[in-house]
Amino acid sequence: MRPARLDTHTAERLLSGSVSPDDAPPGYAEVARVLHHAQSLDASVAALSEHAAVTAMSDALAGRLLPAPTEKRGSSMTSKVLSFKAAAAASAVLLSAGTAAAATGSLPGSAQTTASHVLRDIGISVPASDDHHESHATTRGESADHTTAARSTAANGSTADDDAEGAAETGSSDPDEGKGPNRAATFGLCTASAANDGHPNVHADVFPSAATCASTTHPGESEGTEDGTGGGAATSSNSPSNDTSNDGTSGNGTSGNGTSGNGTSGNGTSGNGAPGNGGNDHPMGPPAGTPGAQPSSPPGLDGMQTPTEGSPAAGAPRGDPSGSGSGSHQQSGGGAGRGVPGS
Amino acid sequence: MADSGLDALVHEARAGATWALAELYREFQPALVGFLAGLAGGDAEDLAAETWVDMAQYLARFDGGGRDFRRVLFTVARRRAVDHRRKQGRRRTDPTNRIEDLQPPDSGDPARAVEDLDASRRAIRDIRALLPQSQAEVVLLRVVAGLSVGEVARVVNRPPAAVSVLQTRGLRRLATKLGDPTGSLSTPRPS
Repeated sequence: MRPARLDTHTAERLLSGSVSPDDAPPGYAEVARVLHHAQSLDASVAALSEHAAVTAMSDALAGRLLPAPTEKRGSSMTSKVLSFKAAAAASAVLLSAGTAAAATGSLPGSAQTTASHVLRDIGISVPASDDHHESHATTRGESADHTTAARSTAANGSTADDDAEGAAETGSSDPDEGKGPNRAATFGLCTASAANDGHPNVHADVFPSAATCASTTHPGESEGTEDGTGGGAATSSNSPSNDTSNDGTSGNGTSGNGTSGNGTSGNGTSGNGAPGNGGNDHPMGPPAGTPGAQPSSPPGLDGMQTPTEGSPAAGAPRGDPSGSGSGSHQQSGGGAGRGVPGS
Repeated sequence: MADSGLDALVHEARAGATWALAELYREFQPALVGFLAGLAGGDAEDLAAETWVDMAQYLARFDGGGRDFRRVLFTVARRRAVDHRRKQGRRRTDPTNRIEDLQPPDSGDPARAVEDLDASRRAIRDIRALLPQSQAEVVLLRVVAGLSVGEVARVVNRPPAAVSVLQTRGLRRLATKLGDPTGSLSTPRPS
């Protein structure tokens, strides 16, 4: 049997349980019975777990329970979107600020150069770091205003350009000191200029002219101008030298080839003081690296004394036997011809 | 219990009175379990316990009377049941004790007859088994929870007119299925 159509009023009465099964419309008697039973719930259900439930509720109300982990899908998605937007906005601000700083040349030297190269690739022209060296510090923390100072520093062999570094170490006797790079520094600057070939640089005024570079030879290849206090390029350790003019108080025998020349020199061992290469013995030269590099007596003094002593024992004990071979070249010319043949 | 008495209980419970919490629990727990049994079956009591804890945590910020408390309580319970259904759907498991829910209400099984002594639970199981989810929700909220059409509309987030239509269709469907012995075995259409 198909149930009769329900009007709103009858439906409300059925749902409220005010219609008994006997009074229900045709076909709704069983519905009235079910709804009536559904409303008369057993109160004993609450008694079973009342104590535990009320305790849990009291704790929760007092804040003694941690909040139940609930999934907030909407807020989670919202937070993700907001985080993405915030990250995008921060990236845009950083990019704009970086571009503006690069355009005004406010970035540090290396960063400015990198930004210049990168932006040049995408068609944006920004000055390189070298274009603003007059007003900004360089990467080494030195003001570019000190060009002259840097030049004189290069002349003194300390810090110049990277390529000139080390090659520009010179003695203090350069007549051009304070007026510009001396010969060794000029050579170093020429080397740096050659390494920079094809890349114009505003520092070009620092580099010597091509004519100067052509006339500048390797410092170590030149005649020994050292006066005993140094001189010569530090890299010319093996270059031939005729520093026989050393007066015995010079750097002869102090470093040389890094072996102990003293004591196994021509004095007492061979009797022939081999020509030294005192030109190599700049105090600023390459480190000797071996214990024998340090003399056990004042440089050159052995060469003056051993002939008078004339005994083989005079030199032998002081030298490292292992360094005797190469050390024979260390002794200055002071011992030449004056050594006594050892026994 | 009268609405004025519920208002006083809710007020005392908000102040932290344990006795008021116990009274509220005794007042609403049977209907809550019945409603959740109609939505979630055998997990009704667990969901009811979670609902009470949620309500207790919310109670400090709650501003309303007894009727509002009833509506919010069943709103929380319904959301718990919805979450529970979603989890069950993801797990793809079906506990064996749910088999009884799939049985016809009066199949004459002696073992099940012993279990179903409570006519109320059997009636709720009939509603759940014979009606689609949306209609069962509305009927249970009206009958078990005792909410009005407007309150049910707020709980299920539908217009009151839609609630009226759902409840009327639900009653007609119940009448059809309960009046036809074969109709009670059919699976309700999805909502």
